[in-house]
Amino acid sequence: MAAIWAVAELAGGRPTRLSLELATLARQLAQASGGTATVVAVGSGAAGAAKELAALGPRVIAVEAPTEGDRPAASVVAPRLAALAGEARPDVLLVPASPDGKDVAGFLSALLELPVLVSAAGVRWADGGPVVQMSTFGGRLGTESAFTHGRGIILVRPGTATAEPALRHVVHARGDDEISHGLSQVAEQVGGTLLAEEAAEQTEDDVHGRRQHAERGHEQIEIQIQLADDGAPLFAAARAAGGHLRPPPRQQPHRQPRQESGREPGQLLAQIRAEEAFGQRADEHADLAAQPNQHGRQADGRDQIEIQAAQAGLARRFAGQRFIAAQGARVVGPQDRHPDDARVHELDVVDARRHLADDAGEADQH
Amino acid sequence: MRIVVLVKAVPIVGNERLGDGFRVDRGSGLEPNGNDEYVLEAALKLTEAHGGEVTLLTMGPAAAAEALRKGLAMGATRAVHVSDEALAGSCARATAEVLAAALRRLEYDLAFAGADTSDGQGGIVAAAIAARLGLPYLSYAAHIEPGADGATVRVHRLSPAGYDVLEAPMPALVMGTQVLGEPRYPSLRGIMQARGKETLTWSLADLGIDPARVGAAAATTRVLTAAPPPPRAGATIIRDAPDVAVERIVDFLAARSLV
Repeated sequence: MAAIWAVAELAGGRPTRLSLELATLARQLAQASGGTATVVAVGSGAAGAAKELAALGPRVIAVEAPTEGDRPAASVVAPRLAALAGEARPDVLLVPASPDGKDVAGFLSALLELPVLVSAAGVRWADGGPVVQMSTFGGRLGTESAFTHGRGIILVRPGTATAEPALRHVVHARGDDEISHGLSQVAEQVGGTLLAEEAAEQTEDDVHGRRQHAERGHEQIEIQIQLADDGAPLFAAARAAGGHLRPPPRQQPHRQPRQESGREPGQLLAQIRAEEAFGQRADEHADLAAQPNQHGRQADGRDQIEIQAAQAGLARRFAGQRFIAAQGARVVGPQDRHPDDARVHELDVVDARRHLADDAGEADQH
Repeated sequence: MRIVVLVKAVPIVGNERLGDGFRVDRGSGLEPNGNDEYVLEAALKLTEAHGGEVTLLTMGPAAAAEALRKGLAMGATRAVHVSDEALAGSCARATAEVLAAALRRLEYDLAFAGADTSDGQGGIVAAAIAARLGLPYLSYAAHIEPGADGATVRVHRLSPAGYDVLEAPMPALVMGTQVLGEPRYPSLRGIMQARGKETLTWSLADLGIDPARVGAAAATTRVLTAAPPPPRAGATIIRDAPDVAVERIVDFLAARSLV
């Protein structure tokens, strides 16, 4: 099962058109390969951009980082992407074939020792891997290329795919009593299935329909993301923390009257507890810890799934920067400089303001 | 100021063809990659204005010496040619590894690389080299100048809205664009002088690189098929007056959701 990642570029806090195309392409490749699709947005305004990207279907990881600050965007984006991709080891990284995208791809290639296929005008899935179409020699020749060992980075040109919203879908995870997955695996299932924005729009009919489905298939448990008070899912907190999936004993499910929480019951099928996830920042997440008590029994009639966050390397690795959930605004740490930034990222932008080409003299004054 | 210019020897544009294993045939008829000539020109102007020397660095077959000769004729001081039979068919990852190893052996303040190459269209090797060497990387340069303190380099990086002005401590790697300015033609005097300039040839052993890590056998990508593209559909030619033509073009684009 292939893990397809698309790297989203941001401009003014919004994903570029090419990023939306890549998100769609990632979803299409994931469908063709039977795998998963993820969009990673790193930059200023990533949280807001995540909402738009999420509509295209893939799971979204948004990392707030100062790309509109005093350093070139690629030098901010690449080390964070390398840390994420080094941890999750996606099979394919789709990167926009833009100037910044090429810089990012070059950095990632060196940092992760991954091959790069460039100028993709088409990407399809065949024989267990991506096959990349490109035009070469000034358009005189069309080639198809592949990675020798399966994994790699693909620089994708504009127009390779048409950005299309995904149909809503819910994936069911098996509710085996023996389930004890790493939280990242759970997050893969959860994050790619139902987005908070969609959950917030659910109607009672939607919920009933899914309940019936769950009752017919007792071996299945439907996973959704619990909403925080601000409407954001707690996905990022859980994923960053690491942990395990642990279904409670089957005798526990019981029906409770709907609480006056302002949410539809169907919004809450999983509990994500993050109170232990961030050590000294536990106070910041007191609200998260409290939520299972307030709403944890709303998954009436069904098995509950408790995603208990624990200390994990990923959380420590990303300590000191904002790590934001797909639907945005769930800040799990203060914004700060990435600790792993290397020397290459110590560029000083003398003046990051945009100058017109004839303003060279003025630029020198800054 | 000591500047190393990375030069890729590519087939003369229009004469490219694929050889064995769908690899670009680089056996003969090579010239410096066009974008590399632009950064070489920028390097020559910098050294002419501020003093210093320019060293060319290439990795390629024996025929790559033709491209180096042109660079030397333009005014470069010397050339370094990394050449080894085991390098044939190397992928971008291996190329970056080899060039990074060669740069470690050279003393320089700045390394220059051109944007995309005419044969591979990659544009990622320079960034990969910078990452491997931990060098500040300033890409898509439209203007390059030394900082006032002599220890930094300042670059105008092209952006969608104009350009950003970046500054980094040296040594640094700068990837330049054609906005830097037209490369000069080699003069007859330059061509004659090039014959006497120093050209070093380094092997993989000189660089301490295991041959098993490079070449076609170690390539991380492979070409599966190559064929001429299908013929394009006929073009739509609009010969109307401007106001009507604009309307028709907008309609054409709108029908395809392009505007």
